[in-house]
Amino acid sequence: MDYIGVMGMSVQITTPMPSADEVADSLGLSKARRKFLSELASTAKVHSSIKSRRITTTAQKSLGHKSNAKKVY
Amino acid sequence: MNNDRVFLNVPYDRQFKNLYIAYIVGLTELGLTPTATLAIPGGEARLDRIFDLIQSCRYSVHDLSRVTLDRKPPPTPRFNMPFELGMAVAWAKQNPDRHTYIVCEAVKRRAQKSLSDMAGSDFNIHDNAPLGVMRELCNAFVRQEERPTVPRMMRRYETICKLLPKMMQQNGSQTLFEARAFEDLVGLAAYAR
Repeated sequence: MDYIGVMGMSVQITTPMPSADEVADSLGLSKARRKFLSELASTAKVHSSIKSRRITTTAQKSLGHKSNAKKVY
Repeated sequence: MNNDRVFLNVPYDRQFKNLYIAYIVGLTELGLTPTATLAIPGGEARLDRIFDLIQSCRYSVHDLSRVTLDRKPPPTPRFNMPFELGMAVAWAKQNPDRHTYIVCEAVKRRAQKSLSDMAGSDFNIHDNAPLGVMRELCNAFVRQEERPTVPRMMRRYETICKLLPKMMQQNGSQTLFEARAFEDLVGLAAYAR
């Protein structure tokens, strides 16, 4: 068999995406390190979600977007 | 052998830092777990342990872009990367179903000159940029499910770069090129996914 490397071809990954805890298991990370890394990662997720909401709101304002909610008189 | 593990063979120095982070984040986004020789101590058994590490990984990624002489006297080229590529090629040649390697370079056609034994092979050219690393990893590894996009991988890379000072402060590492910092970086990339 001549083909041993990728060499311009692609490798198909068929294994399921491992969870973060499975990766941590494979690395042998302690509980304390997992907790710290998980919390650090989640702060980024919160910031990124707030940022993306801000960007959306700003974009909507700049486009003169109006709320779809019906006004009740 | 672990089907998710990738032996990452790259230079460990400051100039390579951004690409090093890009490789780790990119591979983790693809659902793979990078490993490196950083935890292996020097000495006689080092070579055996490097070979054991290669054998334990389903894939290996080799970056041959550091072909220049270093500044530390006496000026020398770095032979570790091509040497470990040779070990991986030999292992893959003997065990084609158990190991697959990819070879990256920064400049087109340079590897055909620096490593003419592999002339005729295609190399993954990353242009010395994190974006190029992400693109080439996506070209080399294709997930059947939950396939990440290059823009998503770049966003994750930028997020991880912002979190690094806090991570380094907590783990007490001097540089990213230490075993503990490497593991934390892989873990952080996985938790940020």
